[in-house]
Amino acid sequence: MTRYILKRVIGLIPILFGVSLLTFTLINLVPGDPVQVYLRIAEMLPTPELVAKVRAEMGLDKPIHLRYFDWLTQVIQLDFGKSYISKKPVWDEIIYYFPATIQLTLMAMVLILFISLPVGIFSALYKDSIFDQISRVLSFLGASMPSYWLGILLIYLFSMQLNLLPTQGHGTVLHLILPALTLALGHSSTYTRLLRTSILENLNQYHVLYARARGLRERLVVSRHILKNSLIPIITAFGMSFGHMVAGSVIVESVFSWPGIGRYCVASIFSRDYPVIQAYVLIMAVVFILCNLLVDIVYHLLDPKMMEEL
Amino acid sequence: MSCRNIYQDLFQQKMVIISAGLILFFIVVGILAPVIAPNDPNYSDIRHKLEGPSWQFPLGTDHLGRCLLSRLIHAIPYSLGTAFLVMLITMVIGTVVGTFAGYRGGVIDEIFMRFCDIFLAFPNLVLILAIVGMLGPGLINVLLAASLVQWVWYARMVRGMVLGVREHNYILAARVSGTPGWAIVWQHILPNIASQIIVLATLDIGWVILSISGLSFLGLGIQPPTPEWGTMLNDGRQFLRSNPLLMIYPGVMILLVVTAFNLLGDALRDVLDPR
Repeated sequence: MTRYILKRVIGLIPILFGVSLLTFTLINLVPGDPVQVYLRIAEMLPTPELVAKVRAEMGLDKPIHLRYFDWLTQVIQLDFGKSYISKKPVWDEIIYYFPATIQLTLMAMVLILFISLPVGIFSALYKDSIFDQISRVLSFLGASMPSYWLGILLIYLFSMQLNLLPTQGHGTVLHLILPALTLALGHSSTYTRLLRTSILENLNQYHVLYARARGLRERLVVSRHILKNSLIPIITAFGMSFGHMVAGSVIVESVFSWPGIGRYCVASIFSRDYPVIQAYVLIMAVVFILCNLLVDIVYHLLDPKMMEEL
Repeated sequence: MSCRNIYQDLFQQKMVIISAGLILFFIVVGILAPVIAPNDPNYSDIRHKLEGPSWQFPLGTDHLGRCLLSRLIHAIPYSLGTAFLVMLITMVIGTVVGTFAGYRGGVIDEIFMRFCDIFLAFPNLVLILAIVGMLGPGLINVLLAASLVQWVWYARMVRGMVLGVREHNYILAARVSGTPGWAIVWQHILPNIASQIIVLATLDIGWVILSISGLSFLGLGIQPPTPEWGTMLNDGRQFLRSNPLLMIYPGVMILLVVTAFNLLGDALRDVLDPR
């Protein structure tokens, strides 16, 4: 197992290198001279002396490959430069906004479990019942639903009509429910379908038939023999979703004015705060890569068939 | 499976007819928007703001007194048309690069795959946001960003499909009999993977529609006053308490179109690509 983890981690190095290269290149997409752009955003008068000074400060007088290595050594030390707008280190700002996003994502994942586990299990065990049909229609609609619309509808229903929950803001658990639900519902439909298919596949396996033949109670058959195997694909998909949800929270955070990293990134796009956007992209990619790594490792631990191949 | 059978199978599926009909309806209405729409979508008359349905304004008006129905109709080319365009660009580039890498194999394929590893290490939406962030908000930049991000994914899928058929006997036979490479690709490989590519595109276009209108909702895509469902939703949000219908209409439009494409994609997969 250690060998497998080591192999995977070493395999990540070239990918991380490429990811950093791509992120670095992104900044070159900015139209115009970066020094002029910076001075304009920082609202400074572009006198020739100032331009030359800033150019040297930003290291733009050096050739591009040297700039990349300078940038990379800084990034490895978590130095992403300073925000054009707040003038504070980008890393500090990101650390400030990150917990809210993680909080939202974790809550959404808990909700996904609470929704898709029971619904998926019942749908599969009572296949083609009315419950199954309704849940299938709903999960189909859930996959096609724009999350921003869902969020607004939930605000309309729970905050404006029923007066149960706050429309936006951050602080209490009550504030967390609607945004997390919005983020969760779209994904829940995927998981419900996945779990349903997975259970249906396992139902016809010989070991289930054998367990029944031994006269095991139905509850034991379901929990020990069907669910245990059906959950493996769910766990794998779950880890991959984590990265997608951290990224997908951009829209939900904007709808609910949730003070997370996604909303901060959108605000930075409007204020053309390029170092922040660059840092956001790089950090998201690293989170995404680490999640996938974790999933692979857990998958190998869970599935005995995979263990034999090691 | 002969052509006739495919068509018969397709027509037997009610879902295909309903969803394809709905999509076709939207396309026709979108093309004929200037003829069908009852009013100028951008003509604002503040005296008629936030009105309910009437003969002049069948669905009422928005906060600037613009005809809602006309705006919904005129939004189709922007909301749907852009998604089609992105899909077309990604499919063409993805198919060309994917086929090339898959058929040639060797070093080119290896380089391509490493490139994919790097690109796919980013969550799609993050990369789109990043590119739009650097280029600046706007319709063209969103189209560019979405296409830049999507094609890699397609190219990798197409490469996989090409690898799947490359070693079949009829390809080997063609190669032995001296058919040039481009002819093998054009006459033997592409026709065999075309149905899979179409299924893939149909299943995916819903996602493209959602992300383009999502970016417009955030204010990063199509800029007002151009009518687009995502921006209309964002506008309607401010009047959620007094006029909830303002955000219901565009939301229903997006949901309908995306559901139709997902249904069609599922049904097409069942018929064309049974596995």
